[in-house]
Amino acid sequence: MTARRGLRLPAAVMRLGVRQLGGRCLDPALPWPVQRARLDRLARASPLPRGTTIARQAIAGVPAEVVSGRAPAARRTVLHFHGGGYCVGSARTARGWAAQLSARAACRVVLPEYRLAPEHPYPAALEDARAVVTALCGDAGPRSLVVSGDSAGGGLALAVLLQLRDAGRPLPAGCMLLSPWLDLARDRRAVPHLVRRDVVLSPGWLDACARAYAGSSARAGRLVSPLRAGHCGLPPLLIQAGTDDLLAPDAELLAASASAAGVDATYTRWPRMWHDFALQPGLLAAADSALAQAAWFVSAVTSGS
Amino acid sequence: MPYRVVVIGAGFGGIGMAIALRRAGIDDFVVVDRADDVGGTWRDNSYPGLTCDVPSHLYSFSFRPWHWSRRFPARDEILAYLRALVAEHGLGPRLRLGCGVAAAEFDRRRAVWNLTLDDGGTLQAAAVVCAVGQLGRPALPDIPGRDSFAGPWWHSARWNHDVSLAGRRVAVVGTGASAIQFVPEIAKVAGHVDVYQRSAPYVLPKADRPYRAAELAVFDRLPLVRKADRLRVFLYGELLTSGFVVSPRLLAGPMLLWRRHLRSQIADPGLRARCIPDYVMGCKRVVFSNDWYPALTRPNVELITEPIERIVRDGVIGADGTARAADVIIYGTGFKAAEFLAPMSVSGLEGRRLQQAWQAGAQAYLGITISGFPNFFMLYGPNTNLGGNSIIYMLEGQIGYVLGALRALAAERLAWIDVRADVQDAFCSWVQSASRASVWESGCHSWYTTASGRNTNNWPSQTFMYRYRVRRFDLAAYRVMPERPAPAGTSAA
Repeated sequence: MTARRGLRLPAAVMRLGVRQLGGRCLDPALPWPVQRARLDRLARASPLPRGTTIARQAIAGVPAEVVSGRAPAARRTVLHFHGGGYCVGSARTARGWAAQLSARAACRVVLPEYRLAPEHPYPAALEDARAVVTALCGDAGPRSLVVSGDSAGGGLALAVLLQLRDAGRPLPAGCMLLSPWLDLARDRRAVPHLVRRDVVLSPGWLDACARAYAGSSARAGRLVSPLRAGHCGLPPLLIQAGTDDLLAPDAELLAASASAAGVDATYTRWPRMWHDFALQPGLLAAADSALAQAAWFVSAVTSGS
Repeated sequence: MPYRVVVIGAGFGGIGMAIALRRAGIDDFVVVDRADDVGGTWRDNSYPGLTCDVPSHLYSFSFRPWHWSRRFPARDEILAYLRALVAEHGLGPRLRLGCGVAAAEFDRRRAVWNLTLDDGGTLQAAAVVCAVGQLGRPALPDIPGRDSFAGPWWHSARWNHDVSLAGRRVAVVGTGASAIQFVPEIAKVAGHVDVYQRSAPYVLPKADRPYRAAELAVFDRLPLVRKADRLRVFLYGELLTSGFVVSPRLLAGPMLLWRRHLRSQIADPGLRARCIPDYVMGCKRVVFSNDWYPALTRPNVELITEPIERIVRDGVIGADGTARAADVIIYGTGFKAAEFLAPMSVSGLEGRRLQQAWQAGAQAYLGITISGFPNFFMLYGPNTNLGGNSIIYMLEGQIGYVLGALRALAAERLAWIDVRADVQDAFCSWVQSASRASVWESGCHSWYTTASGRNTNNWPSQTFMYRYRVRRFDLAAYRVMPERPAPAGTSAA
């Protein structure tokens, strides 16, 4: 419907490419530094719209990238936590998505480089995340801030919200979760058809990440696995997931639990899409559709600010 | 127990939906209709001379060709077709007639629609398919003194068969698609007919005639021949539609046809001049008739283009002060087409009312779903009317789409689906931008647009493009609610 520039690849072609990523980068047999380096190299392939500016700055002592599109950035800010199982990934993995969102929703997108496991296990990432959220809330006010995250970043975003809620602090205007990893204690091998269909994640890699981040005892804690917490009192949620994703049940269970708790949860499911497909706008039509929804969500929840 | 589906309306849309549900093995449904019989607008309208503007081979469901007796089907034959469909598919027990729906309210907690019926009864359903059409509620003009008329008067869609028009003076208000058909019929019996015209219609010749026995034998024995004729009519309709949505220049052929039709049927240059429309062809509905122009030339018929000033006890007074006596007034003034679903009150998520959502004019994603109103589907909804092709072709696409949605609800174990606000907005801005190039927004006043000129009724592209868009249900365009509650143990705070 809307004018789209550039080439969109057929989903089947993208799927093949993404399978390479799964196999070559997110392999529990590889040392963490190798996985991180390979993932960064891959992330460079994702196109940035013309006119994007990227500034590096420290927010509350946490290094971050601030991405702004060509559209004049309004006061509104999206704080996005990148994915990577708490062990790999960087601002670069979400940069393409952030740039497109910034242009579509006239907002700046902050991508913090929170500390990664296994060098810095739980609660290091959460502490960094909370420090950044608190700083940004103080900057622009919580009503113009949307917190977001993909994969493990989604778990981090939700955990921060729960912390703020429990502390009685003002909450951001909304929260977007893209293919979020919300339960580190769940046995992913229990759903064999998802194991078969997922082209990005493997139960073995998720296990390795969970072990590195939270050891084996703390995995079911509510700030490590925020799906296991109560969800009442949260701001509006946008939950996006593909159906061919090992983590699809997390998105679905959160949607059910949050809306049962009276939270305004918007959950959309993309048939035959893989883990974190939403990070590939500009290449994949389904990701464009997800981005349009994210831009709508950001505008809708911050429009009163 | 709530029904799985309630279908509102037992016209072409409702019956088609019911058949599709049956065929898909969904038996837990009911079709309600406010009237005591099936047929929708074909049941409501019974004026003399009522036939369909679309040739019979195209004005039927693709899955059920019919032994039509004429090129253009008459009202009774269409009703017989619908009744035969009801009988063939055993839909009788599924019909609840004489039962209008006053209100529909979505209960988010239970994920059901609560329907309040006109008689105070209630129905519950997981999904609602609203097939009430666009042309169900007659529109009467706001002419001063309308109710002071002493004689009988009626709207063409509520024909009064008890009053004989033989030898009487009849005033007809309006020259739209209905008046075009009934004026030639009543002119044969009435003493005098005054026809009040606001703007002249484009009248194209109607290639109507009964099929010969030999032709019918060929159609019945070689179904492909009937199909080929269906395709021929469809392609002609697509050509007309292309003229409406792409460029009026494509209408050169139909314009030539209309000019020759007018010239050959009306010799008097004065009368002919008053029959020339002052807008681009297609901006208002194009009509087909061989006896409209000849009727106007009858000595007992007068075409009046002077506006009506007011109506008095015994007749009509024109703006120029001329009073014309009338025994009977018949309004052929069309329908409240812009008020989709009215007077039904519909409220969705967070108690949002449809009237509010549609303040600036009705809109829906693909004409089928409305953001904020989960599991609520419309057939022949906003922007799915056509100026040049068969609505049944559109209905079949919509029925397939709704069926896809119902299947997805079951297969994906979803309590409800609700079209994404951003998807609906993007669709509607496309509709509006595409409409700007169409003849409907070329500056006439018609029932296709709102008072401000926004196209709320017509599909602004070719018909096959619509079928392409609805070819399958696109779950990713919806926000969904999983059916099962969070399993125990995960929600303990």
